[in-house]
Amino acid sequence: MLLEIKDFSVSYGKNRVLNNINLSLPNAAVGLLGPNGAGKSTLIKAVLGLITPDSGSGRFLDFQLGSNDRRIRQYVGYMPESECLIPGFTAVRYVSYAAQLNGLPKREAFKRAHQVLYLVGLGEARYRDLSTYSTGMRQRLKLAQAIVHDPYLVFLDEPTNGLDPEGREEMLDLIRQIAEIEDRCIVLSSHLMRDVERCTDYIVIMDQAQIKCSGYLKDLCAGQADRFSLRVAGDVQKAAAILQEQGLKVGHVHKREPVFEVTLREGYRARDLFKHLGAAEIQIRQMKPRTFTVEEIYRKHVAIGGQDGSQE
Amino acid sequence: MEAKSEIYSQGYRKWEGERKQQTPPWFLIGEAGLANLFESSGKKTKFFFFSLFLFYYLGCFGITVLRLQADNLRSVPAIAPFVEAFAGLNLDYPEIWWHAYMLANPTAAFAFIAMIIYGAQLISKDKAANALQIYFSKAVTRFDYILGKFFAIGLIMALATLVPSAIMLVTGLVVTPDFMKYISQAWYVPFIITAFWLLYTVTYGSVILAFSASQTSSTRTSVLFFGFLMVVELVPLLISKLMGASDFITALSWSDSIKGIADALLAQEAADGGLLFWQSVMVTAYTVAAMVFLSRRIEPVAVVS
Repeated sequence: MLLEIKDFSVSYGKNRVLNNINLSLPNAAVGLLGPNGAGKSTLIKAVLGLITPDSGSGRFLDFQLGSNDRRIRQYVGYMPESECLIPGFTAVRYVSYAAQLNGLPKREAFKRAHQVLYLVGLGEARYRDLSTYSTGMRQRLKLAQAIVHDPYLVFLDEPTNGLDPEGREEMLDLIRQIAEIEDRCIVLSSHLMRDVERCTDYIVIMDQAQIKCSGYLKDLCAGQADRFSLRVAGDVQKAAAILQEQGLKVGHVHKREPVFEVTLREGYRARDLFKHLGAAEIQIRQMKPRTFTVEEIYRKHVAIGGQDGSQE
Repeated sequence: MEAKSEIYSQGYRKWEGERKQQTPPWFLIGEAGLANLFESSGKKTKFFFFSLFLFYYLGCFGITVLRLQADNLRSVPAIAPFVEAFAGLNLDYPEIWWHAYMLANPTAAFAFIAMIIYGAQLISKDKAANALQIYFSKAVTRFDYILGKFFAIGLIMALATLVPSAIMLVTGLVVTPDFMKYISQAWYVPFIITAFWLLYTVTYGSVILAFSASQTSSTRTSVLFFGFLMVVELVPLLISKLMGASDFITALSWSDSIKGIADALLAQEAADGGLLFWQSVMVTAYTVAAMVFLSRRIEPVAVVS
């Protein structure tokens, strides 16, 4: 595991912002989700080595978290959400400066700055003053400074903010490619569930200073064995009524398309669906196990409107 | 991941080399800060300072040549009047006296102007641009950052202290008629000038950086610094008026205290030991207070969010 945190607690005064966190991050693309105040920023600060925990311990590579060891940050990249450019710099100087601050030799820092700026699509604009950059260009530049020193772990905070649809697609492709580099990990923090779903393999959901859920998306989103999405040929309302008569739970009946969801009861098998609907001359055109979306998983675990999601 | 990322086909390479800071971060931060100040200055400002320092350095060079080669130059008709202008001064004064003569007042004036124009920008600009997030997410500590900013102040102050001193010493070594006598008079001058430079860098630097760290506008920082100078100059003056015109208290103002310490350093003796002690106490108190304030305003945990 790249990062391991055990019983990690952090308080600001009397306010506990991380409460007995346990987390193991694999070398994968990780989505970090949670409402404002959930403790995401504090977790990032802890991994950057800026915070000493009240209790517990953590390890990133061979470094102990909480020891305020600056070497930790040589292996971590951070793309903040807010603007953070150094005034008066050109892009190539800014990115090479970031690399040098992280311990790369000057010559190598400049070489890599050029490479990375081409990679994020700023090759042609790399000698322009940063104050002339558009919002989209600034986002790309922030990504460039975060990856220029080839970090083992990259935190990306709302990386698609301010990007047009085309730029957003390019950014997500690039993030996916960075995540596919061997032995490297990205942590994508975003409120856009689609971005997380598209770019990550593993998600961590935080709420109320705790980790509510973590795991591989393929496991978390896997469908229930007794829950299906059906597309039928014929009267969808009639089909739904027939199955309800059989004691099945029917939901999400689509208004415009003949699609609905059905949850089987105990002793009722999938092939019985064909039997009962076929008897009413309703044909099942498509039947697939219903998987969860990231949004559904998030809503399941996060308190929304004062309700604790985990108790649903 | 099993498959190699497409990123490699676009020129990306992993860095397998050492991650050891060859250039200390404070040096990079100081150097970048200074370069930024230079680049953000207008052409007229650059020209003004360039002309000013050129004139000043030529003065340092010319005076060193005139005093050390006075006997020879008196015989050159075109230069003789300039040599005679020095007739009122004792040309046999030691090297440190000439350094004090050339450096003391210009440095005090330059420190004030440079801090107002340049020092004020050093942190406030970073704060306005939210650049502290970038610094503290890299392998940079608060100590590195603050030391880097002091380094930038030090480089600015060197223009009025170390550089003219070096010009005078090198010129002196080249033109002196008695090399051994010159060495015996000047060997300790670099140490004293370094202490003089450090005095101005640390005292003026700590106060201007503290103000700069509290603001996101360099103009507001300059105004605050100017206001601070007014207060620390006026308060001793008012107290002395109330107590019956005490020169002792008047001399305890912040800038007079720094100048008093600098004069004692350059003259290698205190005109008034008691006054010098209290001036040192005052300057130390202001500097420590500014340093504490500065370090509290530069908080890595608070800026990375």
